[in-house]
Amino acid sequence: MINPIHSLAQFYLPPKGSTFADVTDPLFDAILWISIVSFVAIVVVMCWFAIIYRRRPGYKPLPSPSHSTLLELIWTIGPTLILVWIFFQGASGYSTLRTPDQDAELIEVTASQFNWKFTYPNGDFGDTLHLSVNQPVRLQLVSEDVIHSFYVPEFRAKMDVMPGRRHSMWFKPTLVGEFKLFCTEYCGDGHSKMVKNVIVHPEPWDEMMRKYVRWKDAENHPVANGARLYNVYCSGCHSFDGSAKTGPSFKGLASSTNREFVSGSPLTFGGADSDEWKNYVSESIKRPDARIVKGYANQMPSFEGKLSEEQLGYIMQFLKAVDGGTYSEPPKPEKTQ
Amino acid sequence: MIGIQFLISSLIWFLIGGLMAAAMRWQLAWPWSDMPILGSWLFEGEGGQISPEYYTMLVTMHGSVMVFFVVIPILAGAFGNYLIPLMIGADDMAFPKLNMLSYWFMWPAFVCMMLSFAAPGFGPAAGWTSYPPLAVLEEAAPGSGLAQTLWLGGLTCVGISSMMGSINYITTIVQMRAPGMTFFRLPMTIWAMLITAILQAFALPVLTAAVLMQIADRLLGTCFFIPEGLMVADALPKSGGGQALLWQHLFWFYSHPAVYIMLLPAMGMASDILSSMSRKPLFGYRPMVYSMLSIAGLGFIVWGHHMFVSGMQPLVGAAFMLTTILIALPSGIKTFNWLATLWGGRLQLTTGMLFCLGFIAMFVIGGLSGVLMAVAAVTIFLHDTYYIVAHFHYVLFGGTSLIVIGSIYHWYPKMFGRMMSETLGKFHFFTTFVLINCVFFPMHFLGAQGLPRRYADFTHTDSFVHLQPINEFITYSAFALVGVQVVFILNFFGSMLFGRRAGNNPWRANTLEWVAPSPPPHGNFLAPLEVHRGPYEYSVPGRAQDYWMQTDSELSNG
Repeated sequence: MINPIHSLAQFYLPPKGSTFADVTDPLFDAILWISIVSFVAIVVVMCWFAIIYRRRPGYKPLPSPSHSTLLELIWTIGPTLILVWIFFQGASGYSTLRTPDQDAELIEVTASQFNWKFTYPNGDFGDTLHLSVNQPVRLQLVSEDVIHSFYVPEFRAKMDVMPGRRHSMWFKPTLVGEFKLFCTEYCGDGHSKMVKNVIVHPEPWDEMMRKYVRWKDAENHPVANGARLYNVYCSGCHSFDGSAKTGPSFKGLASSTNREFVSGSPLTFGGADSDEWKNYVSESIKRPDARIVKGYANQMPSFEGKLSEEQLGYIMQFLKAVDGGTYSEPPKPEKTQ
Repeated sequence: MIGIQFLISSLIWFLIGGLMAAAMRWQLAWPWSDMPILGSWLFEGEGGQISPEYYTMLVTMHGSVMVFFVVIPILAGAFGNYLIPLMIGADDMAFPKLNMLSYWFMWPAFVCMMLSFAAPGFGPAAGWTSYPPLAVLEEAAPGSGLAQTLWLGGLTCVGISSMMGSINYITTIVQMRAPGMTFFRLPMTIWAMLITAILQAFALPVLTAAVLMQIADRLLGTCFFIPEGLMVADALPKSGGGQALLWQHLFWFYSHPAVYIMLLPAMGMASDILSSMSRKPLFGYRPMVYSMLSIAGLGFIVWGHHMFVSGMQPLVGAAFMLTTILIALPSGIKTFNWLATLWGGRLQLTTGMLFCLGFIAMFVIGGLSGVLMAVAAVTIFLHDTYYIVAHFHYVLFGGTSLIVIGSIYHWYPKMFGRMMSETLGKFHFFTTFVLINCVFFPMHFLGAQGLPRRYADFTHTDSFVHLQPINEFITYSAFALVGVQVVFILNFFGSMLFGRRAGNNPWRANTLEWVAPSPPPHGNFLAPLEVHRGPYEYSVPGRAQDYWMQTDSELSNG
């Protein structure tokens, strides 16, 4: 049977992207239809009463009871039966959603203010979640600061990411394509920009990992690695197209010759290869509160101990590539839905 | 008098909260465009745009103001204070001084909230739920500095005020009833106020304690809610050891019963208006009382349904799901009883009555979407989307606020001695009713698409671009909704001067407040009262009049 509501598909549930949709959607439909029928019944009766029993000349009310045990039993027991059915359906669905598949691959998800980081079993990490179709995954969720929430509407999956606690969630994607991951627990002024890509590849897991999750041997190695680090750690607050976010844009940083600060004297550099420039970038990452760029607030966390000297070098190479015009975003896989 | 003070100050905050909502809607429909009129004045620095920090402040303050300064004080503070002594035949509340204090404790709260706007970062911005660590660590968000401390201070004062109020209501209702006013002769409004006051007296200490713990975390260096190893902005490392989840338990242990604190009095007042305007006894008086009691009882054990995605053990989740679904039962019984009250009556479709009928329809939508949201398997998908925004606005705006407005129309003659204009009132009802649905109904579609709440801007990913026309439609409707309230404001103040004189009992209703002069003098009643019957003896066969006041002796025949 065709559900007439589905013809309004773009205002109804999103496409079914995981096995959870087969649990959630039928239940949603069923309760929705029960609700629509109840609502229409109640409102039709109410309006009908309001019309036929309204006070008007010549109308004499008929005697009607102010109590009826039979009626009250009917409208207590009837809804009870429906609600009990809803509870058992809901409880069994809930247990499916929370019982991870034994073959699930483990991915660690680290959330921090306005960034997502995915660490794969091979130790690589990045800001895009790569999955293979029909391969169940278990995500271990960790937050570095406040509460975030992992939500992909197509997967019908959501779980809060709590600081100081590890939760896990699982799902089995069934639809190849690119989806968006949203943060759904309000986490600060950048909350609505805490959105990343989730790509479900048609290749099996091992092949997918070989093709897309390989960091150390990537082409153009330092710049590509720098770009990954940028995407994971910096992109929440710093753009590279010149637009101001929570922090200053990286555009023009490598080619700039001076920088002004909220307090203290301005710095002048001799380009991105000079020691002054490298020391400044390194200081900004490790001790961001030392010098605050004019026009911005002291909001950045320190990355001291979080990034190695080698990784700092990658980021500097990336910054140079951005200004030199040699960096372009890698092409995204085509959407096949 | 305290009741009227509460009423006026809550209505002013209602307007402020409504304007905040309008500003939010502006941003959601046309992100980052210059806001007309106020924009250039408020955000000179940003060229008239709403900044993300300002948007999060609006989200936070709209919620806080509407819950803590409007709905709770207007129901308990305004109508509770005004109607309890009148409806039980008392000359005043049991503790008049405490009563006054409970009003004047609202003022420090008002001042704190106003000052928090002036604090750095535009104002508190951790959401009305104030979840730590975002709310606790100053560095986590621009509004989590002084503004958040002021917000917490304000909330403490609201808590003290409500606590004094509820003790006063319980004592008054238990101790000061007129001779003959047994518990089962109390009007539903009074039952609702009694149950609400008990709910508040039990739930509020938990919130107050939690708020003080959060203040201690902020100011005294404790770590109740701060876990180990956080790296928030440039904050110094904290020793940690706390649990962010603890706040959620404490907060919702109060704030879910608070939903019923915000709903039960409205249900009570709706029952009274429906019965008197249908000229029929309230259908199933005792089941109505018992269903309110069971809503209140269940209300204490459902808080976990706010935390289905916080990492809850599924068995615990299933238990919370069961209790939540069960609440639909007493709510359904109340709805069916209201319908049966209309059945065979002689309906006077006054403005107050129309608002009651509108309330029933809206409450049914909010209640049914509540059942949907109670089912964890579905709500994991819907949690924190616009579906929940639609749900609670149907309950709180479509439900409670319609009754609040309807009750103002119904009891205005008693409060000010004059009638409000019915023509303006009906215009106000029909426009408000239609516009509420235009604003909140489309949010169900947004939620079903998975649109997350508390986002300042949906246009920077292409996922939701197709929903933008709906967002614009909602915004136009919201502006119109705020706009038509001008009619109500004009009617409210105009009727004080030009309204028809009301007399003691303009609606020919039974309950005791209609015995007192309008407006009631100091001491409320001119002569001592004696109560002879229940509150809903309308259209008793064999009587010339279709109403029989609670004070009339057995022999009088109208």
